[in-house]
Amino acid sequence: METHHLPQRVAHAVNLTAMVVLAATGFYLHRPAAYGQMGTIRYVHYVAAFVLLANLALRIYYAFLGRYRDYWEFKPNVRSLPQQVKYYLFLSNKDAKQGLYNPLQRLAYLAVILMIILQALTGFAMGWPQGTMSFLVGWLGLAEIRSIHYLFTWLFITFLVIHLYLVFTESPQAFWEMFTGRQRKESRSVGKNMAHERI
Amino acid sequence: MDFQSRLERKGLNRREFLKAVAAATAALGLPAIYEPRIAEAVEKAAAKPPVIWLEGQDCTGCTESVLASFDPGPAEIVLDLLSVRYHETIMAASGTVAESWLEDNIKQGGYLLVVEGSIPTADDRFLTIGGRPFRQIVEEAAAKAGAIVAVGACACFGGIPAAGPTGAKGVQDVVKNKPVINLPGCPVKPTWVLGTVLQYLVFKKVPQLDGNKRPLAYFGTLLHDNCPRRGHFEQSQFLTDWNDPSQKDYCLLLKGCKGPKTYTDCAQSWWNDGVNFCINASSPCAGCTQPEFYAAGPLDHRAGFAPLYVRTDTMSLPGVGGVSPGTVGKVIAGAAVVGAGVHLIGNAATGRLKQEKQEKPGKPDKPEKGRRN
Repeated sequence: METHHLPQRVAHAVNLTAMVVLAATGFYLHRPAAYGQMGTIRYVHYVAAFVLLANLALRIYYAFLGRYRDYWEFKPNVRSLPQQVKYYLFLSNKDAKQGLYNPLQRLAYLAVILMIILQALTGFAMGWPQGTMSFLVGWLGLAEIRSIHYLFTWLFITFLVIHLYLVFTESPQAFWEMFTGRQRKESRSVGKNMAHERI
Repeated sequence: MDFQSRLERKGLNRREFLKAVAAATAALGLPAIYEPRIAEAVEKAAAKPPVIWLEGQDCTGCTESVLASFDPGPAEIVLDLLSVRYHETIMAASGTVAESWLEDNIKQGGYLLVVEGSIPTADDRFLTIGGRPFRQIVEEAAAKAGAIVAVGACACFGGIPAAGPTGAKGVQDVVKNKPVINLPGCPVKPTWVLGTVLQYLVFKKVPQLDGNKRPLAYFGTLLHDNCPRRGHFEQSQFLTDWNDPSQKDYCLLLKGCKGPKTYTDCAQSWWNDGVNFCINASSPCAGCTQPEFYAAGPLDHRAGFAPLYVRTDTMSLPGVGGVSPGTVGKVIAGAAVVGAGVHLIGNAATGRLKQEKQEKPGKPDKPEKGRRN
């Protein structure tokens, strides 16, 4: 059984690649060394940013209208949030997972979407200060926008840390599955049986 | 004395005057079709549109800058021909005579009010002229002014005095009910003053301003985007050693240049009548046209640009003050790493890690809604 279908997996891989490229080039742009190619690196940063945005748009479209639509997986589930917090704090042994994701996970993914959008807004303001986002420049100032943009990079890194930690401790299967579409050998039979049961 | 004879006294004939007007029109970036209107405005200006120039907490540098314009250029003609009624540095009168002259002129109204220097707000006693608080003088003069121009970083945003204890504020923070034109800079560039005054005299209205109330004509573009060293920036050729001759034209970013955050026309219209400007003289831009100029910490919600030779990347957090976003980010990410570590110990202690593997596969306990195969 595939919990994540090919389009979802591709979107995830594009997200990952674009974010890693953005962070790496972003750190250079933030504190450039006296060697390298500022112009080229900024160009790569821009390209990755547009790839990430296009990917986000496609993924949202797919979530609502795709063949394997899955928008309900991301619906915030506030009522069972305390239960999930209890689970993570070892106060309960039962998590509040419904469908693919638990309530905290859903909030985290929605937050990432919001972070991408905010990051894009501050990014556009810096890239084209006289452009559409010039009101933001007038309101906050370029220096402040630059700081916010940089701070958000660290929020993405924070997300990555938690994301990786939880996937490896809570469901290592999901890690392989997200890239290969298959569960690892030892458990594949279980998965198949499950799928079989469903049919 | 009529306009013609006044020009002659200045050693200008009609032809030379019109040439100067053409130069002024070009300086304003207006097409030649405006020349007659500007000539007319200047002639009308000769009929004394009064100017009151007030100085607050300042160094008189902006006055110096404006008056030091070489050549019998448009600046001199216009500023000479304007009837400057009150200017502490250049007027002959002093004491009660000067103060009563100021009062008389304020009563008449309709003048152009130029303010140089900041206004102390912490306590009126920090600056009094003729026994009256400067704040009060500005408020009274502003009430009857035709237009208000704040020249220099101090008069616009508080500037260098804002680093002191006087609660130094710009004119825009004191005069709330009237439009203020900000011409920041430390000092102000003569062409900005000339251009703005001329534009006001010709069109009788406030020019198009940006979010900081600066005329877009002079402060509409980023210095960085017009920097003569931009090519070196694009090539990552940054000056790291002042003593290395091979780096002498390199980008000054790593030496604290604030050009990428500063809106000004310095790169296009140079200082001292087109002789040079900071970056061209290998000095990093201090960002003197920005509200952040000279602020060490956050100003309102903005980061500061001081010190000059350091790349500043502070930001302000409400209730915390100036912080480096890098530090905040590393603390947050570090907390996540530590949290994950602690949780991992908990996971191991409760034996959850082992349970998971049997439990995980095929978790969804909710009927699937999608069109799945």
